[in-house]
Amino acid sequence: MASNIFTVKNLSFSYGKQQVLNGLDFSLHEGRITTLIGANGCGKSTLFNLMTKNLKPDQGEVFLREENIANLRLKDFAREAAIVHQYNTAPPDLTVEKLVSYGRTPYHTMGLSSDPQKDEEKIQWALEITHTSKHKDKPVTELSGGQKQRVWIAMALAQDTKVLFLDEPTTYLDVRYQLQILKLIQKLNREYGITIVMVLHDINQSLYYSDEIVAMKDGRMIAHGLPEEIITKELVKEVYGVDLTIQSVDGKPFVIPV
Amino acid sequence: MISRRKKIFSFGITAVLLVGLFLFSVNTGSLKVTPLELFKGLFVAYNENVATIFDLRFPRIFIAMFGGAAMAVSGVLLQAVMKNPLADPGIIGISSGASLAAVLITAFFPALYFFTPLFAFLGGMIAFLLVYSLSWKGGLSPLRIILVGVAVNAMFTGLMSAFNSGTGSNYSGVASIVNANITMKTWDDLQTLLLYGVVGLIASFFVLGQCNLLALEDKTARSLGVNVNKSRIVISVIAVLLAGISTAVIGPISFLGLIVPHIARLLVGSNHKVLVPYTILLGAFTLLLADTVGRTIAAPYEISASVIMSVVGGPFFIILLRRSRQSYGQ
Repeated sequence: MASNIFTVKNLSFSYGKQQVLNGLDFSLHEGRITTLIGANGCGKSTLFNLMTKNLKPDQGEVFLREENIANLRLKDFAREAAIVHQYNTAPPDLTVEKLVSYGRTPYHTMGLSSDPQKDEEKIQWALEITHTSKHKDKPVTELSGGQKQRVWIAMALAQDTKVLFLDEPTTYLDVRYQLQILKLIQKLNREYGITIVMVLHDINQSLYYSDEIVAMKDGRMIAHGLPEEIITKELVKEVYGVDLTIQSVDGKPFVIPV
Repeated sequence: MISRRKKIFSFGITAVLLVGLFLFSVNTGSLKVTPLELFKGLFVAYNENVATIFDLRFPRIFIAMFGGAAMAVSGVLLQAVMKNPLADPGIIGISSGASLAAVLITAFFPALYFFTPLFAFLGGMIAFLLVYSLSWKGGLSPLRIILVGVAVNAMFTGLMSAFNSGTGSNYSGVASIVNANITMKTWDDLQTLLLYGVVGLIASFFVLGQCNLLALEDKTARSLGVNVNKSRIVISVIAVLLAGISTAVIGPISFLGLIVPHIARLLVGSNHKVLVPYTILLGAFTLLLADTVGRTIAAPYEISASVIMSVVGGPFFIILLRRSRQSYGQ
């Protein structure tokens, strides 16, 4: 059994009077790809933001290994976990390589690097693994949607973290680029042992590419486990409120979304 | 993309132009000396004409250059903090808040004269906080900042004029701040400006990396370990300090902090580590140009640099505003 990297304890959050998360408890395993799924407004984005220190819980804690993330400085957290947000912008003349180099920021003090050689290694590695080396001198804003997304992932990889969070990394992309991104994520996990936590919109991509699924409804977790074990007609009905047929593809459940 | 060579070229040309303008400006006016006389008079032997120029024109020229640099850098920093290329310490009321404070100190507490820049900084800070908090609605819309800023600016400018008229323009120190008049500046004024301004400019060099990161989405900057709110506060304070002190000495100058960074971005790009040093050069050049033009164009009468900046800056601002509708969409 893999050890726990994230532990969520009795986590609650509300926007004003509207309770969004209600006493969540679960653990994520190190070295796995875990995907949060649920209908719009179920609280998965809120949970994502609580786990990435973008929001502070009303109640409960999130632990990164033994450490309550509320007690970690942003900079220290950024050396443990990198985050690719759904929506990103860059100045018009910022080059790919320069942007990726920003990923080294958590290791700098007063803007100065203690180990420029390591910075350079990590930046080149991130560019290569995301296949963005050939664009490194181009402005980010001139790239296609799929290329841009890979560059943002490269910046997160330059942070050299054990954990990578991704918030709907395939939204706005054509299916071809969606697959490129998902395969890249899978490779990062399988070959480099990076723990992946993501939110995906597409249920079938979630089931196909994830080791574990966290299914949410109305601010509660209603299922957590291997896709092939937890996904049933009843669960899909409960999460999304529709009756759908489930088949098996490559040993993974596949929901016919019609 | 702007190549490295082109950036170096921009730096070189601007530096040469600045030196040229400096020499021209030194020698423009009722007294004229040749460069050789000037050199001799300054470094070799006493020359009455050169001494007069040294006492009257030199402080003014240096004040214009330094004030211009400070004002322009303040503009760059505010634009980074507010993610708004239209932010300018003059337009959004920071300068007028600073000058109102300077006016009140000059009129009521002349003994505190030496600390005027500090009070101007406080006045600027009050204006900045007003604009920031009044335009906050779950986020900062670029257009709302400008609208609120214009209103705050109008209020402070109004109060200042009212005070000036209400006292029969009796306080000449007050009038010179209100009218942004740098005619009668002395070496003491320059010293004040340098003392506080150098602190501000040096401080700005420590936040250039943060300015670059603020150009990303806030969430993304946070995920890189940047405490976005803290960065914003620090950078804003430096920007207000720079605008405040230059306003305390040269009065409110609008549009400088808008035009100079805009042209600078076109020439050297948006990386603040290059942009800010270049803005210092171009800001110095621009205000000195405005001042020199102002005192030659209708000689022997003088048009103040701030009036020149407004006349040129107004149309420029409108052009920017029209273009930004497309790129910053409302």
